[in-house]
Amino acid sequence: MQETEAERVTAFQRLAELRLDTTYALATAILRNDTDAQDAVHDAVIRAWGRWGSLRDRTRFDAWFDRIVVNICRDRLRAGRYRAATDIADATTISTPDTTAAVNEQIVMGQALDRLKPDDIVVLTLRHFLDLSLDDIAALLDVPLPTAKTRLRTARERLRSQLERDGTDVVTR
Amino acid sequence: MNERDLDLALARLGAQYVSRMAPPALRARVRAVPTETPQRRSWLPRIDTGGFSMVSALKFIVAAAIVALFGGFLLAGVLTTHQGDEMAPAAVTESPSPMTAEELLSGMVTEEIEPGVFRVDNDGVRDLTSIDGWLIFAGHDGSVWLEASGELVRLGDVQTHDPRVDESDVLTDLEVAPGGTVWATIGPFGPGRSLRSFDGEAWTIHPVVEPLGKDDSWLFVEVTPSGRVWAVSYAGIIGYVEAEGATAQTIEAPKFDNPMDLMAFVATDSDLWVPQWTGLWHYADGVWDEIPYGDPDTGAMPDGVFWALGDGPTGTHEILHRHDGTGWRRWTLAEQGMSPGWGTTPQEYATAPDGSFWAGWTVYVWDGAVNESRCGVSRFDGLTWTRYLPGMCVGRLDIAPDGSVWLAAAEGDGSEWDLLYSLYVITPEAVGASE
Repeated sequence: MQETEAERVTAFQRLAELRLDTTYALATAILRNDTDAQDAVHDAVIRAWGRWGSLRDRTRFDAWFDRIVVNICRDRLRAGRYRAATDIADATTISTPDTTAAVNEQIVMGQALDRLKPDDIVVLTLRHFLDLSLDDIAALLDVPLPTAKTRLRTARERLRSQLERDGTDVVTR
Repeated sequence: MNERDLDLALARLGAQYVSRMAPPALRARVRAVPTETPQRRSWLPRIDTGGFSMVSALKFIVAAAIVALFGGFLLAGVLTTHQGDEMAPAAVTESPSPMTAEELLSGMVTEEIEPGVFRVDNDGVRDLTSIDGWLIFAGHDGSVWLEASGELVRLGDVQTHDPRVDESDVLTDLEVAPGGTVWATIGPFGPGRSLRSFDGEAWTIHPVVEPLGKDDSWLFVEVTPSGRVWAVSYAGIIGYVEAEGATAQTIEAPKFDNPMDLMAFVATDSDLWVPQWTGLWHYADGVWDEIPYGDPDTGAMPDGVFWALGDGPTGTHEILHRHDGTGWRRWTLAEQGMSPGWGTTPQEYATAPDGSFWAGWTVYVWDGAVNESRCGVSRFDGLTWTRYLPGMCVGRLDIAPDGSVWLAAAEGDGSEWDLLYSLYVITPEAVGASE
């Protein structure tokens, strides 16, 4: 029996909402900005809905939707609006024994990340912010495992170079 | 910093972001999508075997940033050589001379916000206000191409392009030859990665190097007035397509400071100029040599003005180098009126046919934290900075052969990152009118 339009809408809404927290965290980690993360997820939902008909196996929705979110976040990074600006409001809310050092570290690291290429930011975020395995990263980026490894290694090297180039070092505790 | 410290620092930065729950407002927006948004229509029929994603250009995040002008010969070439020398495939339109902004704007809905400066609200086909994430490409033929959300359009043309295979394909650069043939590099790692041309009907893949390394992809494309197409790969391979599209060759590039930072280059039919951190690499007659930015005794420069952006003391690209054919001069952007303060960062930059340098910029004033930002767009002729569109932040900028400057801009001070852009054009008539 063919699915009615209302059933299609309901099915999509249900899956999207179930995945919302995960993808919002994903977008927030990559973009490091709440507002942009919301916009990115919203864009992803629009894009996913636009292609809903092409998703034949709905059990694969999560992976499919995650990939859309990552791609949209990467596009937004590439659009160049993420530059040497760390979300200070967020950084200053961190509760640590040494707030000044922590904030300084966040700013320095955030700025160094901002100067990397979007692909580097994405792979570093997936690995170090979200603690995803290389297998998961490869799947999310739709690349072979060795490629994911190479990208991560290269991104780390570039981050380190950027930190050195900035003439600053992250405060370590 | 050792590996462990780097891991820990990254983990600490990430810890503040990863546990957030989607706020109610987002839930409401998401819930409304299927009832408010029609499903996307089918795009144009797929062309050839590959995909084509028009998403974004990495030029915008340039590390070793540079802009250059091929002196007068580029403009001269644009104006005089495109008719007979245009390479195959056939041009979209055979135009006797590049379209001017005035011609392009006729029939469009515009508002003149300053003398000679227009906001383009509608190009006769589509609403152009409040677009999220525009890319702008001004072609050698005078056409202007826009890309947003994976959709590529030519201004004033009803046709819409999105021949991507999947969303891992990204448009990394686009050039329009004088006769109208569109050249694009697709990357970085998706199935559609390639150098492609569009003749108005079909996209053609040009396997300049086959195969590229598995982690390599074409990043930039440059079309000379005679039709030679240069392409640069992510890993620093430089290749070109001969006229008629028949031959593809590569040349061996030196080991640059960081091949992955090879973000822009300038080419004539025979010469290449590749910017790096410390100087400019020049290729001619099979030989590479480096021209340090501070070296006044250089003989292998393009016949004209060459602008380059290098790193400043704060780590941002705030040293502006200019070569006038006899030697380098340099300025600190902050000292030259672009904007005072810490971290003046050109967001977009281009060289105009008259040899002037244009930049959309943002300045961050640093006081232990980013506590102030401003942005704007300025023109520098080597002596004087002139600012346009005060109070506007520039997302993208490109300059057409007639000297008109096309911008995606939005009101703001640089502190907001989710701006919705409108399309503006600064016509040649407006150049010279200072703030």
